Amino acid sequence: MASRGRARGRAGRGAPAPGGGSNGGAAAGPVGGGATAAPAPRGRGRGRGAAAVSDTPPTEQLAGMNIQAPAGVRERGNRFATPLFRPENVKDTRGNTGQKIDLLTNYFEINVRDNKPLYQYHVDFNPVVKADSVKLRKALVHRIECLRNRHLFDGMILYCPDRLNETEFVVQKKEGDRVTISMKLTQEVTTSSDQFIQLVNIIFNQIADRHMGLDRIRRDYFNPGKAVVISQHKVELWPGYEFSIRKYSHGVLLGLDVKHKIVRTDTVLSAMNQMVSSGRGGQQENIRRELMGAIVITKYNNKTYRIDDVIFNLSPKDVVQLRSGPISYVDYYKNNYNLTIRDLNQPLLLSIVKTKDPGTGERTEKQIHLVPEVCYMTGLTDAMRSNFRVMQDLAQYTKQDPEKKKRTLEEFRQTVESSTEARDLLQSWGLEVSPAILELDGRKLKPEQILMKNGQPFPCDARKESFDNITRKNFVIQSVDINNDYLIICTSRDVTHSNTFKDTCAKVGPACGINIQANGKVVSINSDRANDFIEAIRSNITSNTKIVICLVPNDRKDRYDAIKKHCCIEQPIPSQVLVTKNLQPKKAMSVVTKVVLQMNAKLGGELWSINIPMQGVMFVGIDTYHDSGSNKSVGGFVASMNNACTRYFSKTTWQESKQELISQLQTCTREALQQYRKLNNAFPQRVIIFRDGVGDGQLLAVKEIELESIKKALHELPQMPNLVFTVVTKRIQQRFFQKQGNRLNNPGPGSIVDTKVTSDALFDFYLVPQSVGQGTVTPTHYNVLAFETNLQPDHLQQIAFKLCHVYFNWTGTIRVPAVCQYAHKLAFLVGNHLNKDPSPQLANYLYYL
Amino acid sequence: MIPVIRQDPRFADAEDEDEYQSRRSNPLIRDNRTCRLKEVESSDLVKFEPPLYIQRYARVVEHCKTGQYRTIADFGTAELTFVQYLKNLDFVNQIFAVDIDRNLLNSQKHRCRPQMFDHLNKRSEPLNISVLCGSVLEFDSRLHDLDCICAIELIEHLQKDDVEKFSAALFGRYQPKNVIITTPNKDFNVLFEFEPDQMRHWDHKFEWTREEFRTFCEGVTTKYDYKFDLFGVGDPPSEHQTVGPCSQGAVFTRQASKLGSSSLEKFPTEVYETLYSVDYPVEDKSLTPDYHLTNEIIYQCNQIGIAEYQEQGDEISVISIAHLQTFPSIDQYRVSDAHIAELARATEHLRVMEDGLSILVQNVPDSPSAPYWGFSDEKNDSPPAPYWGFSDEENDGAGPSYNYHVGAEELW
Repeated sequence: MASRGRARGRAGRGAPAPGGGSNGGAAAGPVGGGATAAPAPRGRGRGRGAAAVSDTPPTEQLAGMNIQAPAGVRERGNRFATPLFRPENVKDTRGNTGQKIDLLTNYFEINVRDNKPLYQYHVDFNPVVKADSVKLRKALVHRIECLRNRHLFDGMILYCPDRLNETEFVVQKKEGDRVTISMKLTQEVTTSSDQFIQLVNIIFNQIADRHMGLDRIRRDYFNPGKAVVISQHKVELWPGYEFSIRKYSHGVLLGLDVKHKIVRTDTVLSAMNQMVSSGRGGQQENIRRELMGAIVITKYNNKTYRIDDVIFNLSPKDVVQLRSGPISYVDYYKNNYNLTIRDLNQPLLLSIVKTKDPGTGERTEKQIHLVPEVCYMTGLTDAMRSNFRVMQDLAQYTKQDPEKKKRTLEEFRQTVESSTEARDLLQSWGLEVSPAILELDGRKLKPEQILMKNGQPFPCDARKESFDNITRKNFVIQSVDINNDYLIICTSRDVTHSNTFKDTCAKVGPACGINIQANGKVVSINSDRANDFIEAIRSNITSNTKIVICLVPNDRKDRYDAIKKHCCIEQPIPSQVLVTKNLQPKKAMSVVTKVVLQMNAKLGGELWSINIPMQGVMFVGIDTYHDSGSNKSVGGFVASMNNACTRYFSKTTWQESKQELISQLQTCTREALQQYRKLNNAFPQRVIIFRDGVGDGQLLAVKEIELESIKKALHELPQMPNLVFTVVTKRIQQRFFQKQGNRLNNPGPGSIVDTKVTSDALFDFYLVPQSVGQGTVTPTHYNVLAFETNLQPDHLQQIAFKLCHVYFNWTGTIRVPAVCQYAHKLAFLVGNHLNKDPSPQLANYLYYL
Repeated sequence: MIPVIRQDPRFADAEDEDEYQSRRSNPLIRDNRTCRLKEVESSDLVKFEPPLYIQRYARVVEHCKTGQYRTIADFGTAELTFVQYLKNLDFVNQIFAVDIDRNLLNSQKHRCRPQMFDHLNKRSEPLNISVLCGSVLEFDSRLHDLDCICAIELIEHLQKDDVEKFSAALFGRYQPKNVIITTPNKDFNVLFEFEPDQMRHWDHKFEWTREEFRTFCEGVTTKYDYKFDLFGVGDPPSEHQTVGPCSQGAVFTRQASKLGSSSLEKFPTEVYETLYSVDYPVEDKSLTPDYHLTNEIIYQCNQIGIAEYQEQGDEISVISIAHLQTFPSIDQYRVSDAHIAELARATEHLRVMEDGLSILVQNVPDSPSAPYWGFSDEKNDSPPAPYWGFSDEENDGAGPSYNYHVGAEELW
């Protein structure tokens, strides 16, 4: 399974331990639950990890940055801090073109009473209570009467809403022993500090956990008591919330999104058995691919684990070393949880759990083995995702339209309001959640016009911003004549399919303006083995062959990999793989139309364009791909080569270890600039870069490393072009609902938001690029890190929207600027299928589409 | 609120701050008894694995299992640890967790909240857990006539004078069908090499030898209509057999089927404060086996169909009912092929062939307009629109008018 998760370093693995972790646990109860279970933030800047040490190789430095942000700018582990990323030269970050629209957003204002600061104390115990007995330390502090329910304490540092009159307290241990607790005021936490935001988050987590009866899974909270059971798919949907409190330009806001956790009601073991019984070859590989990255809930300790591997050569009969001695997994579960493991031959699951020493803050990784029989799986597997019935039945509940979503958000606020304990807690901290969700203004940009052959305009469907109908016009700007110069490889069983394909091509091609005829060469082979496909390609390509088309009977990855490796590396030629089931009569017309367009794009044809009233501009898209199987990640770099945004240059880079950062951007940029000059006889005057696939914690590294290496390449030119560098994020929490009369709808494509939920520390805006038929539309976030240009924010907003129209695999808008999607496709092809750099001969083609 | 005491009273006689500090921080000076952290239940001579407290809970749970007790109270519940064991018994309907320490209960009460897996693995019998704050010497009508009251390592914390009152409350008024009491066996203490009069825990008011405990039990049974059986937990090492088990216990069983006249149930009072009460998720009994079987059939047909679609591109799969019967999950219902056909016919998605022998399942959406083209090159393009047909939203009248503050062209 492709993992796009954050990079993970794997160091210092401890000895494997079975599911329970510590073996002292008695019953299947939650551990802790003591006085103040909240992990209070690390307030002091002690012992920050050395992010960049000069004598480590550069790749390792980069890897280090993923784990810990460099010192000085971000406190380690503080994901609520927003460092200042707004380019210094930018004063006004707002645009003003377009039609004003009234919006609501999924945020509540948090009113902070009187802007009163919070107080931070350092806590000492006498006689000394060891720093690692956090539970005891918390329990003792909990005994201080005047602090009850109005403090946060992580074992070292205590926060409370008022300044303490007394700083020394004597409490009695359970054993009757007296302990003196002394508090030393270390600082006042002002409401404008990042620390304050972090504390408010902890308080709200506490409310969700204790007073709303929600269960935490990873960072989100769910209510299994309100589960929707979908028995025919063996899943339950747990409604829940994802929330975070951050500071925005409008103040402290509680961002809330409705989430659903999908939980399988059968165990991981039965899911594995199901995979085996429906199995195709390579079962272990299949199981591994399906399970890796999945989150499981255990049957005994209410914890969740992420599966990092499946270990087929271990079974519950095997023995694990615990502090108390060796014990088999079967006996461990029997003794500690009174659970009987029935299947003694099942493989074990591996989870790598990161823990932090509460005293030293040192992070270690621990391997934990889990028994599939006592784990429940959460989330969607690839198999479920490809099952339309499952998706259809789930969508009924998970896709909430704006009206429904707003009601769910208001329910959250009402639940908080109706709990006396939650209200008291908020009140004691001087916090208040505003009753209504936040309103703000947005703007809707004008629908774009698509430019066809000879610059003829074609209007988009205003509501959907799509242009499906364009395929009936003779529209292609510049077609590459394929005539009969194509080669089809298929199995002897699929010859009829190849005929359908050729005939349909000849029908739909000319309608779009593409010259393709029905008499290309067909080679039929006797098996569907990858090798036979490769052999047929190798021996049948002639100098005239423009493109190789492989009709394959199913979606097997190994065969697809082999074909792509051959056609992208060994014998560079554009290739098209097509599963025959898509050539069923009902679908053939629409599928072949898209394939013909796709093939033309792969050959360098120019399909459609958009008006960008700017000369000499090069758009660049960058994205990364991590393969969960290997330790490498791939960076895709794609640059536009003409004003019409129809020709592209591409390059891939490899990074050791899993990381988002791309290290060879200077070379990529330099080569793209040279190629641009070759095609345009001049270097570009503007370089506008969209970078996708960056996590919040990596912004600084992207700015300091990627942006700088791109700048270096630009400085090598006689005249430095204007540079705009924007980070694009698709997975965000913000949602917008448009008020239309007394209804709430999704804002249409081209809606822009650049107020209130933007940050003062950033130059950022939101763009709704698409329309959705069901549910709530997800806007895309644009965060500008460099803006060295005479353009206005308005220009960038419009450029971003325009570029969403020119992705040649979709006759409509996509979620990110086309260059980003191209870069994504490139990185995915190379990382997931080729595992090697493609031939440079293909660099000027969209072969990766 | 505890008053702020700047000086530890035990060292109040210290001459100056230095002496005070050094005495206070020196572990050797402190009272040997009060600084003991945990109850002594192991020593160099004896070690229990699993730890004795786990063995003890397990033993009491065994008794509850044998007796199939449905209503149980745990007196002196403290951190609700024993409740964690009890709640996994599927026949239990009611658990009262009672303690006198309100703060402790308040900080621990959430431990008995249903956990995620309790929602996934629903109980067949309902279960309510209530956390009550109150003294065992008071009477609360909710705890009258229960199946079992457990007092695990509780009695030795009572003042000797209160033991009599405790028995009266328990056996005379609460009158449960069964009582399980455990307490340390003083005979065993020789293996801990204690000093004279030393006990296993600082708060123990007494510890009983086996003889003393038996006397207590006999006293109870002469006064109240119960009989008792003794048991022990934690066998001594073989060379010290004479000292008996580390922990001793007794199961008392009520003899009278009718309750004694001294019972106070005529005056129902709920004197214990309820700090927390929670009902556990329970299976929906209204769902018939046919309901579950139907879902299993849909699930398996869907799985087979999707696999065939992905392998061969079959948009419709034909699945023989005989084949379905080979699945253990379906076979376990032991129904006829005709019955399966009947269930399949009643579903929305499945169809049954005319001969009644096979089921038809559709593997792709019916909607011809659905532009779901999963060919390999495409599989990772997220189609922006849902791929099972577009649901057209209402268009609300006139299209938008564009009042550009700055003309779009002018901008450039």
